[in-house]
Parts: sequence; structure tokens; C-alpha cells
Amino acid sequence: MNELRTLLSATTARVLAEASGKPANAVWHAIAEAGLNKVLVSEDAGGFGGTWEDALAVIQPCGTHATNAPLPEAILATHLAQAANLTLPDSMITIAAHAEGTLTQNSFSGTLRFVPWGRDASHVLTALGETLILLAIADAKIEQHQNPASEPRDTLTFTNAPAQSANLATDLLADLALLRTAQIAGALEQALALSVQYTRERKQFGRALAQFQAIQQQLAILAEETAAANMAAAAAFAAKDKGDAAFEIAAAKLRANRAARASTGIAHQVHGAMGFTAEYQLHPLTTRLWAYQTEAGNERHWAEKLGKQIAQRGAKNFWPDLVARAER
Amino acid sequence: MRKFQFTPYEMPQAAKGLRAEVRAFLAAEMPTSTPAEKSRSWSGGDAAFSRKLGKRGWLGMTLPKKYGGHDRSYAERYVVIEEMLVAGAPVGLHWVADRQSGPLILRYGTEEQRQTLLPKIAAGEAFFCIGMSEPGSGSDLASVRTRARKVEGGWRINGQKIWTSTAQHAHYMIALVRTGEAETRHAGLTQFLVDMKSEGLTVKPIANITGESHFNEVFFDDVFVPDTMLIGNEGGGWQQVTAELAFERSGPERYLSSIRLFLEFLRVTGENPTELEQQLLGRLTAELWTLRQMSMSVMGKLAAGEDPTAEATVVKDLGTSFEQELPRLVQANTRSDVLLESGHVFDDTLTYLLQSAPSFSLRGGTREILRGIIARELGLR
Repeated sequence: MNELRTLLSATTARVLAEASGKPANAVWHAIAEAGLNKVLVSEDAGGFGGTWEDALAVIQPCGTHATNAPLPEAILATHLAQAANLTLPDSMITIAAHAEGTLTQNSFSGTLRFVPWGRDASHVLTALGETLILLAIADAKIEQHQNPASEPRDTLTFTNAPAQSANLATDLLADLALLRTAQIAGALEQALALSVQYTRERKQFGRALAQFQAIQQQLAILAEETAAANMAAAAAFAAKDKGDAAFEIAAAKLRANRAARASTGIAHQVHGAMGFTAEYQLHPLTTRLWAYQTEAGNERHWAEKLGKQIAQRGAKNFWPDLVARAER
Repeated sequence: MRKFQFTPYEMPQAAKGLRAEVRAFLAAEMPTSTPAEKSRSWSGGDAAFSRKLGKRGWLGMTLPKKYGGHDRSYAERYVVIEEMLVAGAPVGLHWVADRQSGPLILRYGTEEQRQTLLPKIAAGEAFFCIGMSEPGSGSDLASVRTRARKVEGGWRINGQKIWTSTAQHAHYMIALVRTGEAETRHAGLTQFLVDMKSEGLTVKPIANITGESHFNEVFFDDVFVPDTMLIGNEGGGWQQVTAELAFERSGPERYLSSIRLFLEFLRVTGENPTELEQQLLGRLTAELWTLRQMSMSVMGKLAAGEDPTAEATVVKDLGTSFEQELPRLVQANTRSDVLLESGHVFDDTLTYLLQSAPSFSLRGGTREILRGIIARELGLR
């Protein structure tokens, strides 16, 4: 690990642990003070000048700590806004994968759905067709909704709202999928840690649950799936640093979703009724793992995309293509 | 609790050029074979092909030049073996020698053993088998009862090994046998190099459910092994065996066993897949891509001198689960008219892999043993 990444990991762990359980604005305040939202921003512009692999060291812990703020979204939005020369205020910014509506002469009318922390953020970056637009949420009518983890996923409606715009140079849904892949990996790590801890402490039939082979075998699967999600996320972030990462992101989100699907049941099963209580801290993880499987494309979405591509390239190209992507 | 470390691995430049050479070689030199034959891969074998690989310098690649090796990197060897596996090349005869016997002899062997055996391994002229399992000793390997008794100038071995793959073709066995007291279990085990032509040694092939004989029974009736053929330390066998597990459990052969059927499925699916076919292709590709990253990550740690035995265990269980599930999924999702259109080409591949798939999660450490190891790493036991 390089020096920057070590620093980012330590800072992120400290900031997010301290912010745990606090309201979104307080969490954001701590994040902004540490500058974590600017990990991808160049040093000249006051950021860390990090790579995507460095950003992973900040984004993955958001899953581990079930962070109550759109830090992954803000990292991406800040990066994209800077690249597109949009003027960004130094406040909480979020992202919506796409907008429905019309943009005429820097004025936007339309709707953004499932906006993470729409009610708390000051600005939102979104894609309208091939155009990237930045909107002030003060101009929106907000309808509050939430995902299965009770994270805000609001509907924002704009009428003739002033908008900054630029050409869209990325696939926003894929970028969001990349973020969720890392968050899934982080949440799985913590669900595994809790499961190991709980089964070592909880005794039945005179011995710790961890000593039963049936439990051991299940937790081994949980650990393997966690490792797979970690690998998928890390490899996708590494690919993103090389340029086009469409293939890797699709594969990584698919694999991370599968890991989440296989794992939440195990984590709950070994925790018994305790894991089902509002008080115990398993549910902030498992509910996020459910939510993130839907968000930014479920398995069906990415499998279809990947499957179509592979079939078009045919059996002869399959392996050479797979290898060539890793050896760019 | 231990955290499993998987980090992206970047192939070095030298490995990339080598890949093109390997593909050109395979295009020119691989024996003509059907997809079903290709799916045998490291379970199939061809002595002439093994010697060709030896001539090209693609066996014993990581061994030092002074022992007939090539001083190449783990990454370069990885490139060669994954290309061989994907092409379905008949690599089974030299597989064990190249993967683990060579490195084991280099690490623990005497200078004489290195000088006589390693050049033959690198030339594709010495094939090895692993004498571990016994009738009463499978997953519980430390319970082996085959015993070596000290005699003048060497040892006399009596007992029986079973499930010994390619014993009928091998020139040598590396046998794990008991030289100490039975009560001490992990201690008192020693590894010997046994010449398969030794007097008193009998190999009896066992047909498996595919109808082929890949594994064997090997009987030892007072087989004499000279002192010079003891590997490493007397009584150090258990430690020597477990030291090689990261090599044995993380390679591409742990997730590519069913690749031929995946490619066949892709072929019969054609350019315009149904949504069902897209789904399956997408999911399997995501899994395969992730496994390759994980397997390469372990190789990278081995190359860096780290000990990724625990990570290798994860790769093997996930990898063999994938290659084992693949034939069932392909069978369930193939269009019914494919059999008519494709004749027996597709069907023969599917049949072979359906039959051989149960062995994937048995050979080289059963799924349950692997998960037990992972549980121990997690601090559960």
C-alpha cells in the first residue's frame, strides 16, 4: 500500500467511526473537514490527487461503517464536476444516475428519482441523456423516500431551475455501480466480523456456537464470499484507473451482488433472534447489502449487458478478450 | 480474526510477450482433438506433447538454470499453464512434476536429487505422482499407515496407497510414509522418492465413473528405497507436505476444469443469445473473471515470498465450486435443439464434465476440509 492510501485508510476509519450514528449533516461536516470527499481532486485544487484505487480506501469503509452521508457519491460528483469544469460549492453534493426532463438554455425542468440524501445535500449531479447537469437542490420540490436501509433516496422535482451543464463523458450508472460494489465489500467485511465475534461469544449446549462444524462451514462460505466481493471491487477500481472499465464494473457488481445475496442469510442465521433486533448492529449492514443489490443495476441488469457483449464477440474471442483487458 | 488479503495483480511485461508465443505454439503443435478430449486437459496426457513443452522451456520454468530449469518468474509459468488449460492441451502427465514435485525437490531435496531429477522434470521426461491417500487415510492424512523400516543402506516400504492419480504413467512417486511411532501422528512422517519400477511395487488402475482410469491403487511389498531417496528431513514429511499447499490450491486448474463446456455453450448460443442465455453467460463470466483475479493475486503473493496458504484455500473452494456448478447450469439452460444441431460434439463435452465434476471438490483437499481451514483462520476453532 502506498503512503497516501495508508493515510486515507487511517483517516477514513477514524472519521467514519466517530461519525457513526450521527445525523447526516454532522457526518458530512466531519467528512468535509478531513477533505475525504476530495480524494480524487487534484492537489492544486485542494484535494488529495488520488487514484481510483486510493478512493477505494475511502469508499469501501462507508460500507463497513454504514455511513450516514453520500460520501461515495460526493467523491464521484466532485471528480466529474472538476473534470467538466463545473463550478462546485464546498458543500454536500450527491448524484442521481439519470434525470427525466428537459434542459433549455441552462434551465432544467424534470424529475430525479432515488437521489441519495437529496433532502440533506445542497447540490446534485445527474445525467440527462448525453448531458451532465449540476443542480442546486434548494430549487427542488423534495419528496422523501428511503431504501431498505432507511437511507434517504428522495425524489426531486425541478421547474425551470438554473443548471450548469457539460458533455457527459462517462456512464453514470456504471460509476455508481462501482461505488456500490466497494460498499458491498465493506459491509460484508463488517457482517463477517460481527458474525465471528457473536458466534465465539454465544454459548449453547455448553459450548460456543463457533465450535459447531455446521456454524464453521457456514461462516467459511461467508468469508469466501466476502473475499470474492473484495477482490471484485479492488480489481474494478484498478481497471478504472486504466481507463475504460465497463467490463470490469459489470463483472464486479454482478459478483458483489451475488456475494451479498449468499451472505446476508448466513449472517442472520448464525446470529439467531439477536441479529433481527433493531438494537443489534447487524441490520445496518444487511439492509444496506439488500439495498445495494438493487441500486445501480441488479444482477439481471449487468448479466444481460455482459452476456450480450460476450455472445457478440463469440467463443473464439472470449479468453483472449478477458486476458487482454487485464494486460492493457 | 484473520482478514484474507486479495489485491489486484498486474502481469509483468515479459509475461505478455510470452503469451503470444504460447498461443502460436498451441496453434501449431497441439494434437488434433475434440472438445470432449480437450476437456480432459490436466486429467489427460500425452508424453510426446509433454516432451515438446520441455523442449520449448515451458516445464520447470521457475527452476534454476543449473538444474535444467529456466529461472523464469511465477507469472510466466502462470501464463503458460493458463493458456494450456484454456486450450485443453494434454498436460496431465507432467502436471504434478511441474507444479509441485520440482519445487519440492528444489526446496527440500539433496544436491544429488536436484541434479538427477530436476533436469528430467524440466525436459518432460520424468513424470511424478503423489502418494498420500491410503484406504484408511483420506482427509485424515496424518493417519497414514504405510511404513518404512530402516535397513542397511536404505528403507523397506510396506503398505498401500490409493487414489493416486497418474501412478500408471509416473516414473516416480513422492510418497508420504510413516517412519516414526504411530501415536505421534504429525511427527514421524517422511517423504521418499520412489522409483515406480522398484521391485515389489504394483500399480493397479481403478476405473472411475467416466469409465477411464485416472487414479490407481499402489501396493508396496517390501519395496527397497535407498537412503539417497529420502527427501528433506526424516520425520519432517508433514511440514513439507503442508508447505506446498499454496501452490497446489490456487492455480488456474482450480477454476478452469469446465472452461471447455463454457466455450462450447458460447459457441452453440451464437451471436444472438436469448435473455436466459445472456443471464447465464454474464453470471458465469463475472465469476470466472473474479476467480482469475483471486488466483493471480495468490500467485503474486507467492512470487513476493509471502505465505498465502489461507488465500489459496479460499481460491480452491470458490474455484472448484464454480467449475463444478458450471456443467449443471449449462445442462439446465441449453436450448433443446442444440443436441440435434450440434450432434455429439456438445453432448460429449457435457457428459464428460457432468461425470467428472464430483471429483473437483474432492481432489487436493475436500470442500469440507478447506472450509474447516478457513474457519480456523477466522478464529472459530
